[in-house]
Amino acid sequence: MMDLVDRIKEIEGVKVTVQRHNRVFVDVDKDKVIDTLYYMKHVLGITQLSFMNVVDRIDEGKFEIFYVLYERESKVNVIVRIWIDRDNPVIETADKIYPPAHNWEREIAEMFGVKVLGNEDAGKPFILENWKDMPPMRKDFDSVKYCNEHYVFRHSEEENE
Amino acid sequence: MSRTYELFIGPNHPGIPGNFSVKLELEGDTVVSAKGDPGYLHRAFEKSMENRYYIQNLALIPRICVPEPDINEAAYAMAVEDLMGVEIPERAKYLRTIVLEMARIAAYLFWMGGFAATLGLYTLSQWTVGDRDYALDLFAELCGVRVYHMYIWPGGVRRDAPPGWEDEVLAYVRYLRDKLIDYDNIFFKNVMFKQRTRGVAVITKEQAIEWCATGPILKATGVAQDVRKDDPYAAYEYIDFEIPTLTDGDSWARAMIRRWEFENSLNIIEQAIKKMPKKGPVWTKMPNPLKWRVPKGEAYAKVESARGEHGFYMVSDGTERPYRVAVRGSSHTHMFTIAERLLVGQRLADVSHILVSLDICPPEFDR
Repeated sequence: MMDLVDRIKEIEGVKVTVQRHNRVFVDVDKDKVIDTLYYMKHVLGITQLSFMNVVDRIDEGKFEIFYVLYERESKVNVIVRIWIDRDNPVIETADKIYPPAHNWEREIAEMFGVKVLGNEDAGKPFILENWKDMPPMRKDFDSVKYCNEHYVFRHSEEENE
Repeated sequence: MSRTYELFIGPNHPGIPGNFSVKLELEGDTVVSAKGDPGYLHRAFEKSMENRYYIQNLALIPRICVPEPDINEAAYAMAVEDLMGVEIPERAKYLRTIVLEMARIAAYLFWMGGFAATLGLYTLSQWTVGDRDYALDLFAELCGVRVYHMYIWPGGVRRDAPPGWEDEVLAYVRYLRDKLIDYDNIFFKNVMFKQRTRGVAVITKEQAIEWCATGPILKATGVAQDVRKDDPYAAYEYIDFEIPTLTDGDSWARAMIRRWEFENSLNIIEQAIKKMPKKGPVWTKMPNPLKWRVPKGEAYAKVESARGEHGFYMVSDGTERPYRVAVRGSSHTHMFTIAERLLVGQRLADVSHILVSLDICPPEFDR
């Protein structure tokens, strides 16, 4: 595993944290993420993108985007993280490097309002239908308030009487 | 004039594996394009988890996957344990292994019935769904509920197995071994099954790797990758088992991998019961449930589900509620990256069994 970690450390501008056996976190600058992912796949041979999603860091005014990669030889999960501005959340698509990124990006575009450059499907309706409110997975989306405003609550006991 | 027409397979279609839809564009009976249409089953699990205590989420997460709920409990518990630095007792590791393998068996029994039904053989469906019910009875005996067990908890398992339960599980394993001969004779050795599935919807090893497949889909192309071996959890490091692989990559190979995985699970349960310490704690004491404060940090915990890698990405801000829980279900990739490509060029009559051969589970993307 340490061979892989040493090779990741050679990438310029990355911060590598070995959390425990088989888990390595790699923090990179948002402008270098595509180059880093390309390097991970085509130089280090990390071919699997297992997961990609967002953490809304509302207090810091940022979105954290994470890419969970898996390296088969050393059996290590490499988790690449970037932080982007919450006010202007824009990333570049990674689907040319890892095809499943295309659909994870569609999900994060819809659920967090992240704009994905180069992914023509991101921003089109995916899971939600006729959604007009703010992206629902954002921390400032109040799901209780939304439900109270949009749904009629049935009081079954009264109805039964 | 357009020569193509649109056809919705699902959400109300006997050939769709769950509450979702695939929008097909067809020319004659040949698929020109296929688009997955999710959203019918979304229950906002991830959002809901942010508003609940860690312990309250234990009632919520099994519901992410009906056929195999325990994978969610295990991955969630492992993520919490990772952040808290908790080691679970030996007996709990084995009980987790037995429960996870029983859940895998139940999921495969469901799958076998579904797969055979898409090929027109309903007898196997009746048998396997009936046989799955015995597994649910054993779960009810273990933890009081049949489907959503809430048994695997951070720190171990909720309670020890009742006296005699292990013997009943072993009897069930022997019963299924006998039944597997019947399943083979009626289905897996059936000429109809082979003729309908061999050479259909082939995924090459290179494609499987490029499209990031996991589980039986990847194993059917010759890649021996399995979380139970590669990043052992529960008691899998003490269990001797092989990862089945085939190189055909077609619908037949994916079905046969699942059949061998089913047999594997029976062996694993037998070994686990034999090797499990007969006494001992099953839970590492955790703080008061309403005052659990999980240390600040991020963790990714994963398990091998019946469909592939199943993971939880958990972020804690040091409070009593998770800051973010993101669920990685293998069906997200298997549907939108693989099935949408794989269905193109296939015949309409094969669409259902191809989708079931990929074992798409809608709650894994509607979560």
